[in-house]
Amino acid sequence: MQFLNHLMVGQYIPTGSPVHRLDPRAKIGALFFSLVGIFAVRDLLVASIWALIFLALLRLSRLPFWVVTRGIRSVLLLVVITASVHLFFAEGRALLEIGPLRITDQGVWFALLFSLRLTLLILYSSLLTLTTSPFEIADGLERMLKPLSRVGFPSHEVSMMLTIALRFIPTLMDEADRIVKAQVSRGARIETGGLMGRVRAFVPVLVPLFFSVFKRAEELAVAMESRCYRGGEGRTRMKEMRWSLRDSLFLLASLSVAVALGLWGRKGPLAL
Amino acid sequence: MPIELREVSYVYHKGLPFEARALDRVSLTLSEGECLGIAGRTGSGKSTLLQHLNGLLLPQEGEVLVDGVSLKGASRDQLRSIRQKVGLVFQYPEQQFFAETVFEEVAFAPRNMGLPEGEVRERVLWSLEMVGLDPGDLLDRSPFSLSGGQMRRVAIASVLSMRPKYLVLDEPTSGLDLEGRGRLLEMLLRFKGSGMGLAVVSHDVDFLFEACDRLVLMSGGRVRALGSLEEVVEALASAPAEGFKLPFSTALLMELRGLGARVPLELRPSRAMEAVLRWFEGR
Repeated sequence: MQFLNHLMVGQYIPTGSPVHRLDPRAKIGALFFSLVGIFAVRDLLVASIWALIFLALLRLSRLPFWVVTRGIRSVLLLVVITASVHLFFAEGRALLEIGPLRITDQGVWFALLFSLRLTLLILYSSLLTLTTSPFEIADGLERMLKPLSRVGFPSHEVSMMLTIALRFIPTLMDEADRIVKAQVSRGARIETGGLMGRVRAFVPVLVPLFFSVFKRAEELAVAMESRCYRGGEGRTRMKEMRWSLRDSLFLLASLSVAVALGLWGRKGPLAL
Repeated sequence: MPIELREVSYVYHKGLPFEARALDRVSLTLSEGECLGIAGRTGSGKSTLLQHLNGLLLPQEGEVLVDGVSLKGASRDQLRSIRQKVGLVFQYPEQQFFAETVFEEVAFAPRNMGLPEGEVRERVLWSLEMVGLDPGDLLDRSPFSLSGGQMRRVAIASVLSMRPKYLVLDEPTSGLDLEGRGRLLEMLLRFKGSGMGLAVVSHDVDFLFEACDRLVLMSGGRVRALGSLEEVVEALASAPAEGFKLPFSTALLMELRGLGARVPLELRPSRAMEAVLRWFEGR
């Protein structure tokens, strides 16, 4: 019995594909352009083109298809809620009327469009985290935020915090899993009971977990200091990021796709 | 009735690039009143094996029977009663402490069993005595204020308070000093004497050879050798296992016997050392 699900949605799955090997900055940039592009989608055709591009990228990253279904399942509730809000509260010609509820043609249209948009947003974001290790993402962000450090933004510290937090998620999951198992072995009821019962059942898990988190933080601080860590100034890296032609092309391609689809979508039947 | 594993296999992260086969068709039994030692290198599947003994993990293939009840398809209540029957002490069990007093900590398990407060108290006192602690001065202290050895014993008592028929321990000696280790050995032998079935995972071969009657040596998720100490020593003599060494004094005794010395065959390290010394003096 797995008490906690170790594999989270969007968790890095290394396959060594060309997408995995791209520079994290290129991927972050491309994700940014795609997200803007998807936000601007006003048209089912354009949305399906985005979906096709996603499938092509998925194929190229050699990821198993179930990452898509799991990704969708994770936002299903949100999608259903937004879709029903649009479905019932839109203007337009009524298609169906049940008492106070009115479903209009525009409502159906919007519900579809917004669900597609939301799903695409999640899928594209998960593609970044599926193909890029947390460290690469943090490093990439640090480099991209570097210019801001001139105006006092602590870009290195922020990225270090991010790296450490990400680094410790799996460790703490393992730890929590171990503690849950130890308490279940002592007859704790974790998986049953009402809300309050569950909260109370978590005290024997949370106390040891916090205890170990503080201990780990302490140990990590000592370990970092004993290796003379003193912030980002003058710090070099073992793995230098290399920006290559491939990355420029990828970034350029994503920008052009986003712009092109954005402009085309504007001429679509439902430009508002 | 014993705990029986029949052709048990378990794979972590099935179907992913980092899929790992932790158990590969493992079959063994653990009876009451015996101590089974489980040895093997890190990552050989020992911990996964332990978690199958009390139903924390359910076999993906094969079967686990606890006193004749199969874990597969067992109801939630059945699993709960199996976990009471098979106490599991994790590595560094003191890391699971959460209560404000030793009493509360040890009372956690019997309270979860829904026992009346009188019986809970009785069990707490009994289990503290079983691990050789004097309840008088400990009950109201915080478990976090104890010494390392005391913590380990309170942690074991907190599982014993379920009065399990079997006790399964993962690396019980890690982090203990020589005195703590000796006390633990004494304690386990006492449990065994009272009819409890023990399974001990450890890297400390000296400890295993001292405490256990039978050994299973795991390698890459498979059973590499299984049997009484004699059988395992014999099996390893013809085909040494990588990463596994006999206890020093046992190995010394075997070496001397191999050279033709008339030393009685003793496999428990303490006895082997005595036998070698006696032989040396008698020369």
